[in-house]
Amino acid sequence: MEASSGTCEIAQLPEEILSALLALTTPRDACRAAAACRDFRGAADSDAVWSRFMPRGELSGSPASSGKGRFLRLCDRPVLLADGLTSMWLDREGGAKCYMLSARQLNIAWGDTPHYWSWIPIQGSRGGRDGIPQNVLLPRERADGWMEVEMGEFQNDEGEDGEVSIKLMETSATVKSGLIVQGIEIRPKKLLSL
Amino acid sequence: MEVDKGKGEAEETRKVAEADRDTVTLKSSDGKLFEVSKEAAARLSTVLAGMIAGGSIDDNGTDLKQIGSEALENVVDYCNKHANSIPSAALISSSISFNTAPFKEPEEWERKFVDRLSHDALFDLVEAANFLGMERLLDVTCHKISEMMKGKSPDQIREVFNIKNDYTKEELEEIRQELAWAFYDD
Repeated sequence: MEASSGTCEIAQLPEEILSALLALTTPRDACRAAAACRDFRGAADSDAVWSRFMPRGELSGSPASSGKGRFLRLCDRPVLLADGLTSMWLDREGGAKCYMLSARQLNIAWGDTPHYWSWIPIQGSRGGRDGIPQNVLLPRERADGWMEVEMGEFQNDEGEDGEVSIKLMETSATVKSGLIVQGIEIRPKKLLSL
Repeated sequence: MEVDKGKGEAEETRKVAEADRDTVTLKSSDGKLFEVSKEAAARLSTVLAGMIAGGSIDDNGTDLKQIGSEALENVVDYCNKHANSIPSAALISSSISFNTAPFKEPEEWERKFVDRLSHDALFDLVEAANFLGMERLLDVTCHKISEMMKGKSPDQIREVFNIKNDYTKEELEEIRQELAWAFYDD
C-alpha cells in the first residue's frame, strides 16, 4: 500500500498474485525464485503455477497428483502416445513438449528387407551401442548411453499444426554397416540465459 | 472520447445516458478525487462494473479505501488510455481466471505504461488491479514483473526486488540439490 518507505515489498503481494506472475515465467525461473525467499517458495510451488507450465490439451489424466509433481514426472518419464510409437515428455526448463519418433515410425528405405535392415528389440537398459559407426558426423554420447547426431533445427512459425519433414540421407555410395537407429528426437533448442 | 459509439441502441437508453454522466468519480484512500470514463471503467473492472450496475456509485466520489492516490491515478490513467485505444474484443473478458484464460501479450502502449513506473508504484498497481477485478491490467502488470524475474539467479532476484534471504544455509542447499537442474549455471 502507500508509503511503504522505499523498500520493494514484492513479497507482500497476495500469494495468488505472486503465483499469477510466476506462471508467466518458466519452470526454471519459478524454481530459482523459490530459492530467493520463503514467500516466493509458497507461490512458486503452487498448482496454479505448474498447471500453467503443463502443455494444454493432452495428458489430462491423473489429476490427483499435484501440479509440480506431475510436471516433473512428465519431464523424467516419457509417456507413450496413442499411436504406440511416439513418446512425449516435457523439457524441464521451459516446459516445451519433446517427442521421440521411434524407428518403427520412420520411413526407412528398404526398411523391411532383412538383407539391409533388421529389427532388433531394445532392452530397457538401452545398452546396445556396439556397432554404431564412429568418426561419422561427430556423434555425442547421451546420458542414456545412446549416441546422438544433431540432424538440424527448425523454427515453428505455423502454430500448432505445421508440418515438418526430417530426412537422414547417405551422401556417398560406400557401403556402411552397423548403424542402429532408435528413433528421432524432437526437442526445443537450449536458449542461452543472459 | 468515443462514448457515443453505441448509437444503434434504442432511443430510451440514450435518454438515460444523458441524464447520467459519462464519467465516474473515484476517491482514493487519502481523499483525492479522480474522474474516469464510465464505459472504460465498466469494461475493464468487474468491481466497478458491479458498482455502476448496482447504483452504488457516489457522484461526489466513490470511496476506494484500499487504494492510495498514486495507484488510483495509474488505474484511472490506464482506463482512460484504454478507452482511447482501439479495444480489441479478445482483451475483454468478465472474470478473473488465472488458470484458464490464455495470456495475451501486452500491447505497445501498455508496455510503455508500466515501464515508466517505479517498483513500488508497480506493486501498488498490481494490488489495485487485483482489488478492482481488472484482469487485463493485472495481466499487464504481472507480465512486467515476470519479465524482471526471468533468467535471473536467486541472488539477482533478491537484488532486483530488494528481498532479504530468509533461508538458512542448510535449507538453501537442500533446495538447490532437490532442483539441481534449475541451478546448474549459477
